[in-house]
Amino acid sequence: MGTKRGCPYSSAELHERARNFTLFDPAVPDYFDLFAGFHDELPAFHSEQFGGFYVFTKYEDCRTILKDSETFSSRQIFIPKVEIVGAEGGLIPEEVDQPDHGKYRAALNAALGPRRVRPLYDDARRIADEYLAKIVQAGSADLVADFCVPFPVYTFLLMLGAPADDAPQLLYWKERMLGDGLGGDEIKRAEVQNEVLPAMVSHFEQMLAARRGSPDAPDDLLTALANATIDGRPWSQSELRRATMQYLMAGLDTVTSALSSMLYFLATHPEHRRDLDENRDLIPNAVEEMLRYCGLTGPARYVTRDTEVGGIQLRAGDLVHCILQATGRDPDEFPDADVVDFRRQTNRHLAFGAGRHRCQGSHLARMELAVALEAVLDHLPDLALAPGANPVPRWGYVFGFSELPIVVKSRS
Amino acid sequence: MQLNVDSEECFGHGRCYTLHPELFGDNEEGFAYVKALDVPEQQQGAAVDAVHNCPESAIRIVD
Repeated sequence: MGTKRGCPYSSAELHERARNFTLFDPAVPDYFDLFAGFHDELPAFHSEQFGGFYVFTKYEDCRTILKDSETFSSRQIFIPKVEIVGAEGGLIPEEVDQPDHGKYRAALNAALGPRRVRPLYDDARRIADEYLAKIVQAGSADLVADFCVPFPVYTFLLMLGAPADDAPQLLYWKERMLGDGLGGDEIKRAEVQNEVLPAMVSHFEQMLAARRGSPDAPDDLLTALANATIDGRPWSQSELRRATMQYLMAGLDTVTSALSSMLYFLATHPEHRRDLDENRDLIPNAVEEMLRYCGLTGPARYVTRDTEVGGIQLRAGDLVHCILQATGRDPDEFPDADVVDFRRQTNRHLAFGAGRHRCQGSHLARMELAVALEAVLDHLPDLALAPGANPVPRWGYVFGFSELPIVVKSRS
Repeated sequence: MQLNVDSEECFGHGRCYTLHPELFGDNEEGFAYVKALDVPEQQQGAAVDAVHNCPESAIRIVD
């Protein structure tokens, strides 16, 4: 058997942590230690924070919840509840329930499907090469700011079908939406509402207008959005805005975070890195394995009718939080869950969720992550953190690293 | 051995057609379908592997 993660928490401490559980607790240095304790002793529990919610850490419990979208509504997917400026009515499609959810998804499934993703591979690789070559030339870098942030933006623009020149603007809008638009500062929220969103909406509206009715519009995500219909009518401006915000937020931030966790792992595990370098055909499997191990995010759900999951009685109106980051380390689903094994044969991790809300961008994300790893192995074969650097994980709604200082070693 | 993808349960993760493109294909929207109903003997291990890697448990082996 593999190493079992030592849980530093006593039983009493675990119960105390459970009662006050949030993903934003500065007193928790490593959430995976806490998850190990919960898996052993308290796999599902009630937290009194943010008005109270139930927390699920087991693979099977989370899967049960995500697959039953009738009992578990997506009307609230963040805990605490987040009012995203401009997305009133809910992000499309993530915060929408059936039957509309299926209609919104169907309009864009093909545009985000694997057949559209595959042809982008070479261009994505070129973008990765460009950024990594700059890093090699500079001799040092913050891999997050210099690669994990820009790479997904340019790749997303490829998928969208928008010009690469839009990248700085897109990044700025995303940062304002996710920073000020989600924050508590009323003045900044108003700025997002009155300045950032109208600018973004008008920019996208222009691009969409150019695609509408054009017989030779390219077969891409923008054209799909431009021509999207629901119940026989085109999407309204509000629907287009809620979808655009969704794809920007989901398409940029999550890949950046996942990539930062993977590169941290490879920078600090030279044997794994060498193995991957020498066995490049393992890269797709390594992506899956690190998605499982590193943990990314996990959604909340709103309970619509009384039910029971994992021994917990739930009532209509309750909130549940599926900690998908924990499910990847569940020993009942993954033997040797704390061991990273790029040759792991069975891996049905939930990093992209499950059920009808399965991450619609997962095909793009997987391609981006594989391309990024391949390019990093080529350009930075001796990837290691800068001396003295000790990056700490950023916990919270999305796990990742805010910075990864590296120095480039020259190979003699 | 025969394979079946339950279209009610498949949500297009794409694990099966990525791991075993000889057995599974992807449609325009990314949902999976079985390429050949009867699984040749030398691919039966791959079929079992696909079943184990489906996050939705949408793939079934029908004997």
